[in-house]
Amino acid sequence: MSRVSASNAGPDDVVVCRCERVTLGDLERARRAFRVSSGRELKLSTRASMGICQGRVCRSALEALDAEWFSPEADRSGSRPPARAVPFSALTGWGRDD
Amino acid sequence: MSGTLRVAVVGAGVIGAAAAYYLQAAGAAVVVFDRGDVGGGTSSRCDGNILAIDKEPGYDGVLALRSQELLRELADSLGPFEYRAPGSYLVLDTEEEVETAERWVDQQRAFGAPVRFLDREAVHRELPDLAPDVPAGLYCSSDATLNPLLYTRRLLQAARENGADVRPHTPVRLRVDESRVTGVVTDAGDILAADATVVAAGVWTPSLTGPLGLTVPIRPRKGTLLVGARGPLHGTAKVMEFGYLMSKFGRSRKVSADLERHGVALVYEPTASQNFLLGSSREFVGEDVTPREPVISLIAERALRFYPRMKESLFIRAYAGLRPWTPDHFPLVGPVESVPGLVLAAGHEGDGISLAAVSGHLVADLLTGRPPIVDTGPLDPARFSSP
Repeated sequence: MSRVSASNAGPDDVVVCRCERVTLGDLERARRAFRVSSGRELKLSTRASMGICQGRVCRSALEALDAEWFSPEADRSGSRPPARAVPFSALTGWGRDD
Repeated sequence: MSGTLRVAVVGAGVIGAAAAYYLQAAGAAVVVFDRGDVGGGTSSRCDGNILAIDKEPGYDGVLALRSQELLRELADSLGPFEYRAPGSYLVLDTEEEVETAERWVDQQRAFGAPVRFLDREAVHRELPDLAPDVPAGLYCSSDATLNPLLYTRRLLQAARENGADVRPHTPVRLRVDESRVTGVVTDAGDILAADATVVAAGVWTPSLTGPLGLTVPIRPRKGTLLVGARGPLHGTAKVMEFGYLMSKFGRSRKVSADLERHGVALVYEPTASQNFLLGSSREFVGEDVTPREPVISLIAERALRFYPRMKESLFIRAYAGLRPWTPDHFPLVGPVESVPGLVLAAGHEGDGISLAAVSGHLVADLLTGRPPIVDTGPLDPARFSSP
């Protein structure tokens, strides 16, 4: 594996979302191509944070970009159930009286 | 009227995007407004199913099939939007449904829908992961799937390339002059004058037309979706249960009170990202888009009834959207006779993605005076006005 020094690393070398393999370069390009103006749109345009860990790894990086790129009023992606991935069998019968 | 037709479209969801695309292609000068993101309403909170299999034989089916034809053309001419057309299946829950299903197939075929009945042996051969007690199924070969937000964007991209102006994050209200709608006014007070204003704002349409005193009986009907993570797929086919038709049309079927109350019926849709979507539910609960129990568990349970091996698949996210429901299940598409300058294109319930192409084309037909590609009588907004 070659070593990339800090001065040679570009946006395409920075992996933001590991699960969906989205680099900083991908995010920048999507932002321009789709005229993205919110964190939610950015997510939907690139699939960043839509993979199996649902943002566990990349959420803080995406929030930092959000703060830099978009206005405070812009749509953020809401957190949604489940809190972590569970097999579908875990859902059956949950929260209901038998 | 001389010169170019100036049209304001309010709503940059899939319906507004299709209207803008076809209007601009027909030579109109279109400006599209949305209070939020492009596709930020229902068009990014849904699934990507393009179905004829679940349409009532007759006008409903004709509208859907015509839209599917237009969509095939759009798949060739717009940028890519994850369109594929593998057909779709309906699977039966009980023996009692078989006779109804056979009749349904005959009626569909009489209207030219490419539907065929699958007996027990055939349905299990084509869908090997299905629970063994499923007695029969149906298959419609023209059904397709796509990425709805990407589709919305491609329509607007093409409209822009033809000269349309698209303005997201620009809330507007209708501009009214002596009972005519003459364009829109932004929150900042900027006026855009238009010869026609198309309101394609889905569940938010009544809030725009309310000030005009019009009856626009669109109500939000919530649908919840679960996302399953990529893993061993349970086939690449799109599968729904036959009982879905009953839920959609408000007819009763033989299921538990819980499933009935929340309108839960199986919809399984593998996506281009190789996750799969699981639905579905139908509830009138205002504008709440938070996925909730017991609906989440009911959808999972219903899926496991038909796909027992899905037990081990991972559930990674739930989301919900608001279908714009109307009392007769058809959208309102066309000029509003009582309010010159106003055109509606809204109320597609769960068929917005499917019917966007034909709806957009019809809006362009009606505003430019071309013969409409389908009879628009059943879609006339006037049908809800009191005499």
